[in-house]
Amino acid sequence: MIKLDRVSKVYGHDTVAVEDVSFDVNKGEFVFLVGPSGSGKSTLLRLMSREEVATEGDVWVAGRNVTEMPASRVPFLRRSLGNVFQDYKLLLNKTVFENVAFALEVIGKPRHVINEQVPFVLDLVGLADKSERFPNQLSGGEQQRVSIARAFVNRPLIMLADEPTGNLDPATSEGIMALLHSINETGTTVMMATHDHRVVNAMRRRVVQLDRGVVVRDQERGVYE
Amino acid sequence: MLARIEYALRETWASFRRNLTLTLAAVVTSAIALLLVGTTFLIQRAFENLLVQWRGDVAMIVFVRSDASVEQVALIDSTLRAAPSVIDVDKLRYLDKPESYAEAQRIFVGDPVTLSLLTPETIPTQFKVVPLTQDTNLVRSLADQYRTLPGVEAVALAEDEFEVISTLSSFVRTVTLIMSLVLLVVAIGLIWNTIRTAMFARRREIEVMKLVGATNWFIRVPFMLEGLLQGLIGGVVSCAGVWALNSAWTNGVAAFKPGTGISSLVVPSGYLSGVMIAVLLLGAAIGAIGSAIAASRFLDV
Repeated sequence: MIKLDRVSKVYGHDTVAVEDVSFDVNKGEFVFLVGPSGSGKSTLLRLMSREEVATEGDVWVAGRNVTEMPASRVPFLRRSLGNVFQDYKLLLNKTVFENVAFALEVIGKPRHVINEQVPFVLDLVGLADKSERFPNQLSGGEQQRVSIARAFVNRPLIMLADEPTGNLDPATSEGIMALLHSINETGTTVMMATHDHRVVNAMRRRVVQLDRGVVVRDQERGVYE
Repeated sequence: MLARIEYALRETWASFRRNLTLTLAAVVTSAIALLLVGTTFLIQRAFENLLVQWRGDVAMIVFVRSDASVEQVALIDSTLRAAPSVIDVDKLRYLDKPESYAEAQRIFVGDPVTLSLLTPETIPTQFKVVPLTQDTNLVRSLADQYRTLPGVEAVALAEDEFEVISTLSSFVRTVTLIMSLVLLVVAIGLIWNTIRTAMFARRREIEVMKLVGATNWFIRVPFMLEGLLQGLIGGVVSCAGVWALNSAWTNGVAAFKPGTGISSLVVPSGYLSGVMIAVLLLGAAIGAIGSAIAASRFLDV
């Protein structure tokens, strides 16, 4: 589902973000990208969603070579990805329902599909009764649920989550992880960058550890060391 | 498809209201610029009416009485051709009655009283004379000589009548043209800035749109429509202005004494609608240009 082949990303002349990274992720896998800040976790995710382009090597996502993809194809790549961020990236002037609907609206889905799909995912993330609230009327955990609903509403093949629990307390994080777990159960591949020991150790899934841009560990059912 | 059109229109309208002040500035500037463009066209056309009989370096017109005999016309023709060192005989033109009548229709366009007195039978015919010399005294002495020929009704000299207006016309044309060009560029700049501001105000939305896979065109279209709409509204306003100016002028011309030439400075209504359509299209064009530049350069937010 995802394949990185000797991928390097260099900013400017000599700022190396990731270096010679290779690994494969199969369909339906749940992978933690771990490592300290600045180790290149976010860069890898950004390479997968083509927010950045690799300096060297190839990035394959859902059967497509992302590195060589023309810019005009990038929107269609993104439609097969769901992105979740530490800061949620919700639109504050839109309600919960509208935030999720927006993701379908801007890729041209008709109104009847929106009216059917949005309540369904809001129910899935446990926010069915808050669909008319605005983001700043919600707790952090609830906002992250909205952003997960928005990422999932188009049924992506892959979910890319960058520190989704970074702003949340342990109890709330547990809920978010349970949600990502259940999304993974539907067959969606999940790739999550984190430096949160607790969630990694509690889940015992594949762990890819980065240090200064280099993969130093790739372990099935790993823990955060 | 329908959902996309609905989305684009809704977003365009919302953004239009959100930036009302900037939008108004852009609309007003385009309207003024376009009004000036339209007025330039009208002034130009009005002067052309006045100058139509002097087109092509004609400096002297010998009017022939409408009841002159064929022999008298022939005599005038041969007299004119007898001065090949002063008169460019290749460019010497004789306008018969229908041709002279057609020309008079333009000259007296704003003077229906005079026009009604003219008929294709009673109108004087005319010789249009292009001199070879710059020496106006020489041309003037020739004119005095031609006035005495049988059948000649009058001899008119461009120097006496329209030299000043001709110079004035080209001066006015240059000035208004430069001013409208400058204002058009300013209008494009203002529309560009409005759209840029609108895009900046919605950078978070644009970021999310790109993230969930909206195409660049999908993101751009509402902004481009917004710019187009601003230009178009400017065009509509200036159309109204052009029309009002022209009506006021056409009505005002009737107050001038006939025969002063002022009454020629009127534009036929067919030409007026042409100018109005051109101004409208130009408005749409500057809106499209301004917003297209903004939308293509500021998408990376």
